[in-house]
Amino acid sequence: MASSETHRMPKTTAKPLTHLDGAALLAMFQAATALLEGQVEAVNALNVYPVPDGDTGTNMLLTMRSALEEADKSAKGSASEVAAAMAKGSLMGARGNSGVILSQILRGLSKSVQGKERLTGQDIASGLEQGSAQAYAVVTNPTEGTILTVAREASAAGKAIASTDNTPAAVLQAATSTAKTTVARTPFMLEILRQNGVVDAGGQGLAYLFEGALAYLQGKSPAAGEVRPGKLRVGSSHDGTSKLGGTYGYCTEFLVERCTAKTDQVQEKMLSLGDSVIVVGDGDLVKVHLHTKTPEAAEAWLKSVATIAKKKIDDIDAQHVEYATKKVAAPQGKVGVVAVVSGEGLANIFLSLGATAIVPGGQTMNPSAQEILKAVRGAKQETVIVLPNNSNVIPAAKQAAEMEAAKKIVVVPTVDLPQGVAAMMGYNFEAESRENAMAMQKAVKAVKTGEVTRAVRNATVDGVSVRGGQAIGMTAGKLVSAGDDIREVVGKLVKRMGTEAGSAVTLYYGAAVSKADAEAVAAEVRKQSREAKVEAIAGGQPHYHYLIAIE
Amino acid sequence: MALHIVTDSTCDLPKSLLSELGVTVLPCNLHIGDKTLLDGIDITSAEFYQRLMQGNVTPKTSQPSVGAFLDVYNKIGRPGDEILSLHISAKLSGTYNSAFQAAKEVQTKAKIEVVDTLTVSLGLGFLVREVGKLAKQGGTLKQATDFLSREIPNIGCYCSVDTLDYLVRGGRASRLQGFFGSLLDVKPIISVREGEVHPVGRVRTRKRMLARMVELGGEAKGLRALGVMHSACADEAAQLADSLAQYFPRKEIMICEFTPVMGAHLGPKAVGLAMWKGASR
Repeated sequence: MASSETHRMPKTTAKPLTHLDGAALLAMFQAATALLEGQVEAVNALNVYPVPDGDTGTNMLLTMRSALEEADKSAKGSASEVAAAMAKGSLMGARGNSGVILSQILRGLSKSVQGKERLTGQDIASGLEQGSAQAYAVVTNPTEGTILTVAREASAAGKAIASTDNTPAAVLQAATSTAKTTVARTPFMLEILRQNGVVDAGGQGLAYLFEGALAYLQGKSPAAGEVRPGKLRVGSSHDGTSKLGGTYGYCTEFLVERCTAKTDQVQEKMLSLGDSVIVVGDGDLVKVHLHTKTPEAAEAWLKSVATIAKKKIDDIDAQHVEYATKKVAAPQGKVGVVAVVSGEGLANIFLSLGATAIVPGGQTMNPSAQEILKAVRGAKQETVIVLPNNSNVIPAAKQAAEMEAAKKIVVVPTVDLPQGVAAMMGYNFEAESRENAMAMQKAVKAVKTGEVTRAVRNATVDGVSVRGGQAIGMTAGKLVSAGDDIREVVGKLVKRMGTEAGSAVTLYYGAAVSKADAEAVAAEVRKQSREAKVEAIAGGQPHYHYLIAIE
Repeated sequence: MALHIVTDSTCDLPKSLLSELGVTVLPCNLHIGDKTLLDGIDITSAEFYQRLMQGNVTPKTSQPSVGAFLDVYNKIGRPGDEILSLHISAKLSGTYNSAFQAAKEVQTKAKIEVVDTLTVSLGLGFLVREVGKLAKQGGTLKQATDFLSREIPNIGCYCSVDTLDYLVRGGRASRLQGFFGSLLDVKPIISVREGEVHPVGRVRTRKRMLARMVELGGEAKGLRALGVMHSACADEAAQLADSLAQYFPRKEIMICEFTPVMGAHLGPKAVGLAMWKGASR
C-alpha cells in the first residue's frame, strides 16, 4: 500500500481543514484502510452473515487496497478524480458481499462529487448519502442490521451536522459515532447476529473505515506501525478506541423514569463512562445501554437525575469466555433420541452425536420403563427413538413404548453401547422417524462389539479356564480370551473379532482404567492391527474395563 | 444473434470440454497468504492439493468481482446477443451476487439472464454442459432458461470429507457443525439440496463412506448423468466409478478433480457424487 507520509498531515493544533483536495482525500482513504487493516482478524471473527466464512474483514481490506492502487495513479489530481479512481479500483477488486457493497458506496460517492476540485463537509456528507443509496439500489434483498444500515444511518448523521458545521472532520465525526452505535444495535435487527452473540461484521468494518478517516482528519492518523494489532473480539461491538482497555467490562442496561436530564446529557455522561452507548426515549421513560467497567458510577449518576425502574448488569468478559469456549451443540432434530447409557464419557459421545437425553443405566443398573418415559416426555419432539443399549433394558424400553399414549416411541433394539454409538451414526437431525429408525437399525449392523472385564471366580467357560480376578474378553456372547495381562487379553480379543484394511477400532475405556493404561493398550493393538485405525476414548463406564467397537 | 454461456470455475468441468462448447468461465479467487490466485489458472488442482497436504496453508476464497463480470459481459455481448450466466448456489458463494450486479450495470445491449443453479461442482457442470450444447446448436436464451427451471430440481450432489477442518473453517456448512461435532473421528456425508448443505449420514471409515456413496448413486432412478469428484484421491474416485457402473455406463461417468476453490472448503481426500436424475429424456 502507498505510504501517506508524503501527504500533508493536518496538525491537531491547527484549525480543522475546511476542504479536502485530491491528495488529502487519498490520504484519508489510506488512513481509513490502515485502521481497518489492524482490525481485520477482529472483523473476520464476527462474520456469520450472509455466508459465515470468516473473511469479511479480509474482503473489505482487499477491496480498499484495490481501490487505493487505482487511486495512487491519479493522486495528484482533483478530489473528483481520486474518488472516481477509488470507485473504479474497488469495482474491479471487490471481494465478498461486503466488498461489493463497499465498492458501491465508493461509486455513489464518486458520482456525487463528480467535477469537484476539493470537497467540503457538505460534499462529503452528500457523497456518503449517495453512496448509501447506491449500495441499497444494487443489493438484491437489502437486509437491515448489516453494513447497509450502518452506511445509511452514518451518512444521515453526517448530512445533519453538515448544515451547521461544514468541515470534513465534523461530518466524519458524526458519521463515525453514529456508525458505532448502529453497529452495536445490529444484533437487535438481525436475528442470526443475536443468536451468535456478534455484531455485523461488514458494518463493523465500515465503522473502522470511518474511524480511520476521522483519525486522519483530526491529525491523529496512525502510521502503519502504530495501528493497533487486530485482536479477536468475538461477541462485542468494541473497537480499538474502547475505554475499557482490552476488556469488555459490563454490559449495563437501565430503564429510568421521570428523568430530569435531556437525552443528549444522558448520552454525553454515559459516553464519559464507557462506550457502545445507546440512549432512547425521553422524560417519562428512558432506556440506557452502555458497556462500562464502572456500572455503579453510571447507576449513581442516573439516580441523581431519575428514578431507576429496572437494571441489568452482565459481565461481558464472562459472556465472552462462555461464547468463546462454548461447544457447538448438536442440532435438535425432528425426532428425539433417548439413550440408556452408563459412563460419563459415553454419555457425552451420545450427546455430541445428537441424542436428546440420556437415561443413566445399563448392565448393573437397569432403568425402569417409568424412567425412560420421563426422558421421552421431557423431549420436545413428538416422536422419540429409544436406544436401550443393553439386552436387559430392551423390555423396559418396549414397555415404555406401550405405556405412552401422547408420543410415538420407536425402539431401536441395540444390545450394547458400541451398537448404540453405531446407531447414532445413522441418526440425521433432518430426517423423519421412519427414515431415522431404518438408517439407525442398519448402522448397527456395521459394528462388532467386544467386552473386557474381570472374572469374579474360577470357572471354565466356552472351553477357556479362568481364575477369579483375571481379565476376560468376550464377543458375541462367547468368552474368547483370559489372562493376567489385560493388554494381551484385549489384543487376543481384537484379533478374534477380526480387523481388515480401513477398519476403525475404538477402545472405550472404563472408569477403572487410566488414560495412560488405555493408551498403552491401544498402542499394542495398533502394533498387531497395522491396517486399522485404533482410538482409545474415555467411556467412563462401570463394570467393563474396555468396550471395543470394530467397524 | 447468438447465445453465450458464462459460468464460474466451481463447475469443475474439464477445460477442453468448456472450450469446445465455447463457454466462458470466470475464475473464483483463491487467497493464500497475501497472494491472490485465479482458480484453476494461476494454480492447478494438483499443485494446490500438494500444498494443502504439506500443511501450513489456510487458503481463503472469494467470488469473481463485479468488475470481472462487467468486462466479460461487455466483451462478449453484442447488440441482439443473449447471455446466460449460470452459477454456484448463492447460499454457498457470492458469485451469483457479483454476476447479478454486473448484469444490472452493464453497458452492452445484449440481453443477460443470471441464474442461481442451487447446486455446485459437476451438478452445476452438467447444467453448463447441456446449455452449452444448446447454445452451440443455435438455441435461444428462453429455451435455455426453460431447460434450467425444469432440470435444476433434478440435480443432486453428495460429498464426504476426510477431515472436518476445512469445512468448519470455511463456514459453508456451519449449520451442520453440531452434526459433525463429535468426540469421535467421524466422516460426515452431506448433500447440496435446494442450494443448501444438508446432512445425509455419518460413517467412521472411508470404506463405509465409499459404500454409502455407491448406495446413494443407486437410489436415483433414471440417471441421465453421473459424475464423481475428488480432491487428490483419483484411485478411490475410479474405484467408486467402477462400483457405480452397475447403475450407469462406466464410460459415461465423468470423473473430475475438485477445483482448488472447492478444495479450499473440502480439504484433501474429499469424494463427491453429482447426479442428474429423472426418467424422461
